Amino acid sequence: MSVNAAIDVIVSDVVEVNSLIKRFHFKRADGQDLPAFSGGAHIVIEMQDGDQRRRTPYSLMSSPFDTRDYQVSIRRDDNGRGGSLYMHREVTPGMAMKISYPANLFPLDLRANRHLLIAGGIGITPFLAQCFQLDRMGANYELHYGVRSPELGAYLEELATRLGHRLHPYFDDQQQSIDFNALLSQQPVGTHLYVCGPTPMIAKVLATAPSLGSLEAHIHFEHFSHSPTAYPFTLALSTTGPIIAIGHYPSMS
Amino acid sequence: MSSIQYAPFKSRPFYGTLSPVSAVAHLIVAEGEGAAAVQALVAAAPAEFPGKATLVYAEGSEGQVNTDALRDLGFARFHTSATAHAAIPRLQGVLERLRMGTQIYLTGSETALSLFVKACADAGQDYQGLQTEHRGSLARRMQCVHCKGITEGVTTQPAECAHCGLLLLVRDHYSRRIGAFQGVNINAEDPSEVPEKEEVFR
Repeated sequence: MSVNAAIDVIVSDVVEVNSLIKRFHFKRADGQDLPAFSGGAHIVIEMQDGDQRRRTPYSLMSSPFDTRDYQVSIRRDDNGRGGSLYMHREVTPGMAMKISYPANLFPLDLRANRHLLIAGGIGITPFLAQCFQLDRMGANYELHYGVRSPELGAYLEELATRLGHRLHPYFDDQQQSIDFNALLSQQPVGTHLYVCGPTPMIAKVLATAPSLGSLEAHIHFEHFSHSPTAYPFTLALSTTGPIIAIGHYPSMS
Repeated sequence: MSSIQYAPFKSRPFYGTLSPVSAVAHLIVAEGEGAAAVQALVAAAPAEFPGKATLVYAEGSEGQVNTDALRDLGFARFHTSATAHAAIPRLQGVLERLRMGTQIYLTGSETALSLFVKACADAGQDYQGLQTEHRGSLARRMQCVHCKGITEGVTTQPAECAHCGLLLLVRDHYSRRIGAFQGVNINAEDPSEVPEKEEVFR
């Protein structure tokens, strides 16, 4: 993936999904369709936040079959590195931004006979795009979606309409949680498992799966929390001499 | 003597030795001389192993195998077929009912392993999780890259395509999707030049 290859886009809409999540729509500045992508793909959004330039990846949630716009949903993280706060506070319709070409590190494995999707919170976003694809393929799949409460369950209503019996929601505030042991042990051979959500949830699935003999090649996951920032370091340009201190956030580029 | 040289190919499958692992259930698919590998597998496994296992056994063409000896090992389910080909519909039915967490063990001739691995892949089971052990014939399933026809039981190098009649170099280039080695015309430039056949895949 080339992070530097950028597409000029205009923010075409910003929608408040719930008290924590906003959805951002991007259209190409030149009016063309955006590049094709597959479910699970992400884009890197470039943000010029004062004198800081941030590049943050977000999963595309819109249909891979409609590239007139790209949509991402971003949960506000008050303790994060600041990308989500910038998006929530500063980004408004009409704004010009740069995004990367889409890249997919969390694709569906099309050799599977059945797809078991497990989402926690905002980790639902790559699955929203994948479900469009799975529906079009007529694939056998189920989505298990854990949320804090019905109010904070983003896209639950839309998913219930689109997916029907394939959707299995779980609400923390009603003391419901996914029983991974029971769920995984009921899956037929040939099932592929996709997990996206908070780190503890992924850890739980990965801990359950081996005891059931699930194959590594049948398990796909994507962490939806920021990776720890790199340590600050100094950079010396040996021919010209200046020593530059690189802090936590800006990168060398 | 000018024996034909061909480079080893990355996709050529290599097989190991079956060894029991802890799993929810076990599926063993064996053909012909693979019966001995099944006996060795059970001998190395804890006593409760056969009780959690299904065996699909294809007698194959070798003919000297004692199916009753396998039956006496006490598998929870035991299915027999005449050949590896005949065992495939049975295997497909068994795979449909298996739960994730079942360990699959495959053993038999090169052709039988090709068919079994393909049946598992068609059921969505990744080849990397399968245990395999080769027993018996090295005869290959070969796909003609020109007419796409599959020729079974190829033992010679080169070999004739049973469909279009071209003389083919049997490569180590293997297709897991098709479950066959690839055969490429060996005398395309001068069909009158016919290299001598050698029996190399016994």
